[in-house]
Amino acid sequence: MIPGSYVQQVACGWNHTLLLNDLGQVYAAGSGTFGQLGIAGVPADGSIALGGWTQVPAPVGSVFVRIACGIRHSLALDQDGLVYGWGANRCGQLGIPPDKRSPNIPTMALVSQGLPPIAMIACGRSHSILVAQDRRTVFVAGQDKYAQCGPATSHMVAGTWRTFQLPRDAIKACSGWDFGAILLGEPTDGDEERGIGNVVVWGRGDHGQVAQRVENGCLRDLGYIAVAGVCDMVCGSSHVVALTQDGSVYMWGWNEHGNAGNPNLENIFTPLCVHDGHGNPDNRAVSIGCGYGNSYVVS
Amino acid sequence: MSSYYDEIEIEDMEFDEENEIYTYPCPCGDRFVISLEELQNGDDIAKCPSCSLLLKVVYDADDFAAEDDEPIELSTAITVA
Repeated sequence: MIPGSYVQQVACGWNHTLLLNDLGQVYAAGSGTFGQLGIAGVPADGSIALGGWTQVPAPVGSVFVRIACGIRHSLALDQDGLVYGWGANRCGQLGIPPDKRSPNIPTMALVSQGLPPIAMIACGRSHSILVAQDRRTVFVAGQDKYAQCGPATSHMVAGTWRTFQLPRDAIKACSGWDFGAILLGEPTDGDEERGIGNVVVWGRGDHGQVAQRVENGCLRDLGYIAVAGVCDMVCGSSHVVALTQDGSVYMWGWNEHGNAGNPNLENIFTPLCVHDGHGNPDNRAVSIGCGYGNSYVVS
Repeated sequence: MSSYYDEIEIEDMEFDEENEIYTYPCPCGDRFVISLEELQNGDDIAKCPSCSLLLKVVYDADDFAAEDDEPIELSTAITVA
């Protein structure tokens, strides 16, 4: 049994899962091949996958408020704004310079050393995204082959973390496998004229992930998407689902499986309204979700 | 931009000893798969059974050369006095 009265968050990696209970404790289950469970003693070859939920040992007094999983790495944010990470670090995705001979971090390590207090965390396939408590400063670490680490103007700050600034406060940080997406507050005066919409994206875009056609398959700059009234957003491996205040749902990105809502299976390079809440006031979407290659809308 | 989803080093793939296959996560939720036999034959494209996406596998062919096919090098024979 997991202590506490409810689970406040679930995060899924490729073959591991983390739970965060209301007491701020993190539990893990699944495969620990890359140290992604954060539990010492799991054989490095993953020959014994943990069968049940086991608490991830944490520093004394730590109370966690958010968790996130990449395919093979994990992050947890505590109430003091510190970020702990464990699992695969071959690309420096934990914010720590990778050790070629032992690239996995098997137990919780403080990975936000040298950074200001953090408010939001998100994980891609082999990168991590943090947003500071000022909601304007972004930190990204890990693989940069597809510009996952942000615009070319970003610069190194600590460990493997690079940083860049947002033009408005972040509401929510998300990540696809090879791109980043942050939901911003509503545009203020002049933002619309300057093309600063309410979703900012960067990174891989060959399948429409950044809602525009990009040269060389990736966007090494910040791109802005203007979909009015977005109040929630989630990312699949290569597509994005956005919910608006009037109960509409927009999607863009990889659509080979119809996962971005277009039955023609073509990738979507311009946000597509797949559910019109404005025109259907009795059937508004209230919640969205997605897996790697599928999407959910609750109306 | 290549036509592959990605290029991955063999060290980043997981080996399934029972089925003698190497796998890597595919964005659709299935897995890219290439068999040990295919690698020994010099193939370097892992396929996903559920997708059109392909993965290029980067590996050293010498590490996978089938031992039976290796010619015996006479020069390595030990000369007994």
